[in-house]
Amino acid sequence: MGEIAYRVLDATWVPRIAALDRRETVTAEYAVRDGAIVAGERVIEVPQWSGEWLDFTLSFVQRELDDGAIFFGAMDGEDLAGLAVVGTRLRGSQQDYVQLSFLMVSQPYRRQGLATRLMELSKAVAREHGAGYLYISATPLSSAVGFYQSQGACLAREIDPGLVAMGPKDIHMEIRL
Amino acid sequence: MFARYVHTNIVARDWRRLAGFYAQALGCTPAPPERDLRGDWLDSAMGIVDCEVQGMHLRLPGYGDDGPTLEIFTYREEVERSLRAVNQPGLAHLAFAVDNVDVALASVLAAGGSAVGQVVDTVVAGVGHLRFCYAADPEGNVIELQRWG
Repeated sequence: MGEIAYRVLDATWVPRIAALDRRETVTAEYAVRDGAIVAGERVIEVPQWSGEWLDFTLSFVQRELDDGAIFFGAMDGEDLAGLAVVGTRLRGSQQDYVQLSFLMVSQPYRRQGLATRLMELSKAVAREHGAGYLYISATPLSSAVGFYQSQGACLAREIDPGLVAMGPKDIHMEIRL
Repeated sequence: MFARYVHTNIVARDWRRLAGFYAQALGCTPAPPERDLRGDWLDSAMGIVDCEVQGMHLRLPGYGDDGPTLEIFTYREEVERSLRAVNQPGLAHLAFAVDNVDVALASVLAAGGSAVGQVVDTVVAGVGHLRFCYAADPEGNVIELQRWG
């Protein structure tokens, strides 16, 4: 494992997301009740990609890039160790959201600061495109929600209905920039 | 009189790091050899006693092998100055025409640079539509990324 470098990648890298190890053990599943995030203790083993989930993810990332999103890669040499996909288009009724569409770090590279650096880059992109907030539709697991909370995320003031349809259990969060 | 523009000099705190930034973020390419300069001739030219300079030239993108370069030098002894501002008198920024301002700005950020303002669309009367932003390299030198269309 070498020094991690960060680069902007083009769409030809999208299939390489399949090489990331998404496995993890999480200890809680989150939900929103009465306007608050509540944790339910539950051990969940997140498996490696299934064919269907991989196809969905690759198609989703490709659509985001077609819509002008930026694809940041955390690179170990020419291996993809992690990525963030962040939009450049303002969203929401106040036009003050930019969406963090996807953030993932491969299992061997976790807890080394890659996600934090990818978040910094994503926040900078959102800020420079005029956003006041980064919008995140987070997988309702402790690893994702806990990480975003550590980055200053709280429940979003406004829910994007299109994203709710894509991930009905997701926790919709925002980070003030 | 014949005149031809040949290079822009940047005095860097760390010339290797800054050269790496311009190569990664904006596609500049090394134009060897690396320079390691010292001697009476350099002292006389610079007006500095015991002057020592290391650095290299980078070919700027879009002009082939005979185009202008960035000359990035680090002096053994340097004089501090305040951070650049975009409206500071004197040489102010390097401008690069790019095919996608958003991607170019993200590349600058990923390579260790920073943003200065926001990405803006405007129409310049008599010239056309401009999408551009100001950014900064890792040592604070201002870069403009622009696309006319």
